[in-house]
Amino acid sequence: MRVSALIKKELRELLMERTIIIGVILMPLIILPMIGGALSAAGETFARPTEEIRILLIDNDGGKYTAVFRNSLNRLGFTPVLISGSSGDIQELMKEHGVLAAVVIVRGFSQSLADGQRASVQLFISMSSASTSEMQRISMLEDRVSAAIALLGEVLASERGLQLSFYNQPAKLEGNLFYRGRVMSFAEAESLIQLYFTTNLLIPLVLVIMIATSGTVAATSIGLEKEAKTLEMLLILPIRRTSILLAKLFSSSVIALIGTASMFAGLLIYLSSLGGFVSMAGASSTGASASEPMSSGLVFPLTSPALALLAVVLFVAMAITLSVGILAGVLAGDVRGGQQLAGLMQMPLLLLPFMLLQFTDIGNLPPTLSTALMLNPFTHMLLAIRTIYEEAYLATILHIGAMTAFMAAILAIAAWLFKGERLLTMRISLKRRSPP
Amino acid sequence: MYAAETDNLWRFYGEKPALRGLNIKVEEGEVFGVIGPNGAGKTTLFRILATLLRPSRGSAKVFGRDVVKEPGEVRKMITYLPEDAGIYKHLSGLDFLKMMASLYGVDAVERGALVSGLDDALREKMGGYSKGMRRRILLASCLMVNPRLAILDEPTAGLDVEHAVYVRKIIREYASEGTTFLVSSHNMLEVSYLCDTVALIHRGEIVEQGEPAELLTRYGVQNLEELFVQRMGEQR
Repeated sequence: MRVSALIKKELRELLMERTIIIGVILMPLIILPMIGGALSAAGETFARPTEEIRILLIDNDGGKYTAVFRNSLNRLGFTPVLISGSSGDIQELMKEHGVLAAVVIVRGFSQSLADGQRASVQLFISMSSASTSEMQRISMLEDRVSAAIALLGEVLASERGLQLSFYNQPAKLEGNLFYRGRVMSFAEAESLIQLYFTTNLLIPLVLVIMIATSGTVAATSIGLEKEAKTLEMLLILPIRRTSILLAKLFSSSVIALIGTASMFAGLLIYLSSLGGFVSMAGASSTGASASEPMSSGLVFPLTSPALALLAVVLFVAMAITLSVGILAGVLAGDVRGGQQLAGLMQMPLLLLPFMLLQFTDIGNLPPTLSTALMLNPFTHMLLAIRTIYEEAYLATILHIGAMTAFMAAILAIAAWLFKGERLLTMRISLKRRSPP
Repeated sequence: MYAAETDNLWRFYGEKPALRGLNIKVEEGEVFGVIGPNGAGKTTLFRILATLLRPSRGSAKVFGRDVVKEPGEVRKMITYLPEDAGIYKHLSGLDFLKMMASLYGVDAVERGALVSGLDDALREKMGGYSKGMRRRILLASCLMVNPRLAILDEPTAGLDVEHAVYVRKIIREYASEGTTFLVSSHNMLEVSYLCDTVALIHRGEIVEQGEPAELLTRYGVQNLEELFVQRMGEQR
């Protein structure tokens, strides 16, 4: 087949382009594992509920209830470093003892409690950064010290013959959440929201960026012909224009396939590296051990059908951006113009559904807006990923079908533009025209 | 039947006419030269005959085939070397010739290699070729497939003497074997040497046409350069 000579040429020209190798093939393999690793590392920095924490306990009271409170702190996982009667700089003392938190028991603490009056405990925390993990650590320290105070209250109440734990919670709250036909506990729901950021939000976000990069491949393919001034010789070859277009599309698809494989490998590494983070999220909210697996359906299912469908979604999404790239390449005058135009055409199409679907379900949007969104192929890409997440595979296949139909329509427009002289005479410039 | 023929050919870019009722007839087997100042309409004429552009009015035919109605048939008979044609920088010269031979469905790589005269450099990537080498490989790709009509827009533009002489020699060799050439050039010496017929085009119209020797006699000038300057002066 004569077209094979063209395909060979296209592949060689594309594969030798540094921007394509870096943007489409290497970036997913670097960025996705990097994000996964970073999240996993961030997960590691969150303090575990069972972890022993060293704190400074500055005792300016020395009374009976200080010892009780100290015991309560021990029970809640603190390892207090005791300093008796110090009025020095607390920050300096914390630095000196290498701790990030200090509890100060003020003078008259035990006497106040013995008199039935509210006493005072001071908590000082050294905050190292304004990060989520740091916020979580502060919140955890506050919770544990409050819990130690509550334990002290129970001791005081029992001395007076009262079961305080009973009065604190005379009835137990039980029940479940229903999420898309599944039953889950409130604790599991909390885990789900934590996992939302790592799967339901982050996977589409990273894919949006990667797919946008791949769209420039086809634009580059045509832009290169224009820029290198090889297009005219190509167009007078004794073969049909559609054959030239198909050769370009086929070669770009091969690049897209390699890109998909690269992205898929990166995504697998990413999902695997989240294992520790995921189990951590589950354990911290449910109180289960870190090794206990999450309930199925709450995390991205690493099963064969799910992964196969994810691969198909990625490939079709890439093929759509390639088609858009071909359009951009036809309309622009050179490689840079084609890439800019491809970005300009793709980014609103990608970002609009991405942003909207983060805030709400498509069914909750006004009918006009949801219809408009459904006319965007990338809405179907995001919904397909969501349905894989929910293991609703039939819906995934329908969304893939819709994406394929859009791709065919875009290609038909590109083929129409490829005919006649439009490819040579049509120009859309993004540069500002200089005044006459 | 003419190798190339236009009848009242008009082409507009927006409101601006690039060709105004142009009529040319290129005999089969001749080297037909088109000369004229920049923007005269030479490249537009070539692009229409090469099926890249459509006429706004009138008709253009190659060996009796209409360029609008039968562009596929026309493309089988022609090759076109644009003035500023580029190369595929990641392909070697040999791979490029193989690709072109395959696309035209001919076994002509050896012939192409011979025409290019690039010898061992054929195995190198074309991205490293000099301008002269690029022009030679492109010309070789145009001629090795034995087209009935070769349209060459400024085939020696920007080349040094050695490369330019080589290109002219090859064109003459192919012309003697029966290939029809439609050539444009700003080099009047080249036109005198190469062409059987010359057409002077200005503002999209033919202002003079004939054999070089006959034109010199008619206007009593020493060379085509003088003729060109004289006729252009009359047009202003």
